[in-house]
Amino acid sequence: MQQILIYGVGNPYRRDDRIGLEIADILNEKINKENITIRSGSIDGMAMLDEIMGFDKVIFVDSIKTRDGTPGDIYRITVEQLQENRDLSSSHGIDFLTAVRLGRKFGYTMPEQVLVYAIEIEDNESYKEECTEKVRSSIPEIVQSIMNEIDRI
Amino acid sequence: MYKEIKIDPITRLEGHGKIEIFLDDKGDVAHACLQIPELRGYERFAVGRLAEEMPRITETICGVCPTTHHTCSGKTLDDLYGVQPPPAAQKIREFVYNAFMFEDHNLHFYFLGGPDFVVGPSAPKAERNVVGVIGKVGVEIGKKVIDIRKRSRNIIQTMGGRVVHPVHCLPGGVSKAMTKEMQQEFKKTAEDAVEFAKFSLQVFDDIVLKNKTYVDLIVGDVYKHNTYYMGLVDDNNKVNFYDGWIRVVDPEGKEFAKFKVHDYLKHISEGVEEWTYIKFPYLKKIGWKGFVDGKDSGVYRVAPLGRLNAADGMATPLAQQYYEKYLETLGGKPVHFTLATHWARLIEAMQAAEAMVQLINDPQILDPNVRNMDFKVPKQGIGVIEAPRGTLFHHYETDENGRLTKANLIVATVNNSAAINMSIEKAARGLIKGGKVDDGILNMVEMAFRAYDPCFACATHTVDGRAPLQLDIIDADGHIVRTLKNK
Repeated sequence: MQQILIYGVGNPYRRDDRIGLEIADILNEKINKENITIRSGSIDGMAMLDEIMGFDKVIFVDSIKTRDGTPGDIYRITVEQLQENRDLSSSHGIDFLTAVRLGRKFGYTMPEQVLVYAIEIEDNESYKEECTEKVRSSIPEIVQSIMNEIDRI
Repeated sequence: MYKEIKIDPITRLEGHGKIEIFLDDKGDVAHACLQIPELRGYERFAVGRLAEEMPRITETICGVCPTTHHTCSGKTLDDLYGVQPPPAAQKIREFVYNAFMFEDHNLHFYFLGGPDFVVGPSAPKAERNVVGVIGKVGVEIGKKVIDIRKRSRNIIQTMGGRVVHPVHCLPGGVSKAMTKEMQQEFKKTAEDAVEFAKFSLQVFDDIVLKNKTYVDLIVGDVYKHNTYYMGLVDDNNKVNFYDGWIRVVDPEGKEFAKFKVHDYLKHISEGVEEWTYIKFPYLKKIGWKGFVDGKDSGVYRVAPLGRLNAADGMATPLAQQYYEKYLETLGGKPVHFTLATHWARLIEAMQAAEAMVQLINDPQILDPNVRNMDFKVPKQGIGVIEAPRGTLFHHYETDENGRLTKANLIVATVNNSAAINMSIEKAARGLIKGGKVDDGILNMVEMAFRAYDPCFACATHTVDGRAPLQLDIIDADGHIVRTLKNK
C-alpha cells in the first residue's frame, strides 16, 4: 500500500502563513488511514528531506503570494513545475528541490510524486494567530481538494 | 553627491536580502549597505503573552535554527523565575545544544558556505552549491553528512518530542529525563560525531589549506577587517556555546570587556543611520563611528571567527589542537580574515562533538530529577547563548503574573550587521571602478556575505526556501548600470 505524507508548512504567528498548519490539523481529524501520515511545521529544505524520506507520495500544503492571485485561490503544483534553482542563493537554507535531488542522488527512498497545494494568501506580515477572512473561507474547498487528491491514489 | 542604488527586494515572508551600492560621480563605490529585517514584530507580538510561551513562540523565528531561540528562551525563563535547573537538566540542555551546534555547523560547511571553497570561488555559479560539493567530495561523503546530521537531530527529537519545534527547555529544567537506553544510543552518535569532525577538518586541509590560491584569498585584504570580537567564554576564558561570560577583545586581541549577561546594556548599544530603519549594535564605551574598522570604532564581530578571537582557547583537547594550527597558519590572534570563519566553524564543530562525548558519559546526566519549580515572582529575565552565527540575547520584562510587558531580542546576525555592511562595501570597492561592473562582483559579495551565514532567511517554510540576492548598481545620473541576481 502506498505510504502518503501530507505536510502542512507555515508559521503559526504570521497571519495567513499559518494556513498550511490549519489545513493539516483539519485533515488530521478527518483522515484516519494507516497509510496516511499528517505532519506540520516550519521547516527548510534539508529538514524537508528528513521528513519525506520513505514515503511514496507527499503533499505539501503551504501559502503563496503571486502577483495577480486572489486570496483563497488554490494552486496544485508538481515539484517538476517549480522553478529549479541550481544556483543556490540562500546563505542560510537549502531549497526544497535541491534537497529532493540530493536525496535521490544519495539513493534514499524518495517519493515518486511530490505535490504542493499552495493557497494564495492576503497577509503574511502581521503577527496574529488566525488567518484573514478571505483565506479562512477557502479552507473547506482546500480540504476537499486534498481529500479528492488522496481518493485518486 | 551620492546616487542611491536601489535594490528591489524580492518579497518573501522574511529573509530577503536588500543591498544598496552608492556610486560617486566618478563611478567608484562611495558606500554600500545591506538591510536585514529586524525582529520587532516578534517583540511586539510577545507583549501581553505569558512568558512561558516564549520558548515555543521564539523557536518559530527561524526554520533553520529553532533550537537556538528555544534554548536561549528557556535560560531567560530560568532567570525570570529565579530558578536554577538541577544538574541533570543542565547537562541534558548542554548535550542537546552541542548536538545542535555540531549539526548546524556541518550543514553550513558542506551545503551552504563550504561551496565557496570546496568547489572554488571562480567555479561556475551552477556548481558553486551543495551539488557541486557532492561532486567534489563524493556521494558517500554526502551521505555521511546527512546521516550524522540526522542522528544529531534525533537527539533533539528524542529529548524534545520533535526536531522542528521541540518542547525541551522549560523554566527550571527540561521536559524529559534521559534513560539508559537513550544514553547508549547517543554515546554512539557522539563518538561518531568526533570522528566526523576530524574528517571534516581533514577535508578542509586537503581542499583548502593545500591550495595556495584559496589561502591567499582567505588572508587577502578584500576580506579583512580589524574589529573587536565578542563571544561567550567559561571561567577559564575558553569557548563555551551554552553559557558563561560575555568577553570582548580589541583588534589587537587584548581583553576589552568581560561581563555577565545582565550587564549587556551597559556594554552594547545600537547605532542609528538615517538611511535605514535597521540599527547596528556597537560597543558603548567606544561609540558608534560608522562602518569603519579599528580600535576607535565600536564595531564588533561575533560567530565562529568572533568566538575564537574572544577566547583564549577551546575547551576540549582535540579542538584546541586544531585551534593552535589555525592560529599558527593565519599569523596568530586575533584572526581578522572573514573567510577564516569557515575553518573556525569546523573547529567549533569539533568542540561540540567532544562536549557531546563528555556530557553523555557523565553519570549525572541520568538523574531523573530534571526540573526545579521553586519559582519566584517574575519581573525581568535575561538570557544569552551562542547561536551558530553569533551571540543571541533574549530579554523579557513581565508583570507579577508572568505576562510580558516588554521583550527585546538581539539576534546573532544583527550583531554582525555593521561588519556585513563593511564586508560588502569592501568587496564592491574592489571590483567597481569608474562605473564598470562585471559578474565577478556578485561572487565576491556573496562570499563575504555567506561567510557570516546571516540568519535573515528566518522561518523559510515556503517550499522554495532561498533568500535571493539582487544588486542594482546605479551611476551618478540615476541610470541603472547593471542588475545582478543570484538566481
